Amino acid sequence: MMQGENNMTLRFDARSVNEGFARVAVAAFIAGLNPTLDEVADVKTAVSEAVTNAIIHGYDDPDEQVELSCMVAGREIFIEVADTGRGIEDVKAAMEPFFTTRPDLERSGMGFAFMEAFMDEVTVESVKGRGTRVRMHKKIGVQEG
Amino acid sequence: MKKYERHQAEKLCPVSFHFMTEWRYDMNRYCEVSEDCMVIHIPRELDHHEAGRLRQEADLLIGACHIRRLVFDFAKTEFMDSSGIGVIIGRCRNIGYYGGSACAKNLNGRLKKIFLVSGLQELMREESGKTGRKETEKL
Repeated sequence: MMQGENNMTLRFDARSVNEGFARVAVAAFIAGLNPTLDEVADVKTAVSEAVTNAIIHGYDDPDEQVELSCMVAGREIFIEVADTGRGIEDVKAAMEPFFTTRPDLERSGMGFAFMEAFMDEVTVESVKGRGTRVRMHKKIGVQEG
Repeated sequence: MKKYERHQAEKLCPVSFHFMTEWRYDMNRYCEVSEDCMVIHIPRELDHHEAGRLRQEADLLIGACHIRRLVFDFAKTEFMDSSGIGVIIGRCRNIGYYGGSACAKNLNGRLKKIFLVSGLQELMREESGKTGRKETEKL
């Protein structure tokens, strides 16, 4: 079992093709904790949601950068997805299920709801015009009791 | 595409068929049409990146082939996020405009959880059965 802390940071272009890369990278990074398949799927879904949000809502230009950091400490995973894009005007409203600013893209408005459902804790910091930072936390090994 | 299938497709979609064959060379094909039923084979991973292509193909065929029944086949699917939910809800709505219906098939445990969290199971019934390909064997 892993002792202490382990960190990683990735920066990638805000292109939709990188969504798959981001979630697989995090899944590989946390493999040392021996998570269950369900736990890996939970984390992958949450990462995919956060990264997709940064790509779709944060930026217009795919050359902009998304930063994904992941820290493992003991049995806990901390994930941070940050962009320096548009920012969210009203974070509370944005986190309501079915809220979306892009119905034209058939966004379901369930991104934050999914992150909250699959992770233990989700916090969002955002400044309009400056960017958004999503922090997520999950403890591995809780399901088995 | 086999000769027989090509013949069937031309018969079913005379107008759009030539456009379709041109267009699908550089794309995976998700949809399978037979009479007024279309099976959408959901890919291994359905995220925002994949959703756009699936939407484009499905909408073209729903309109061109007068589809009344949609079957989403999740047999191959290992990953889906809320972008996938968006594209499925969108296609359900479209088939609704045409007076048709939609159902889901081959949901694994993970997908059932996604359906539950998103409320999609209220919108669409799940059909039991082996694979969606059976649907088209009536032809």
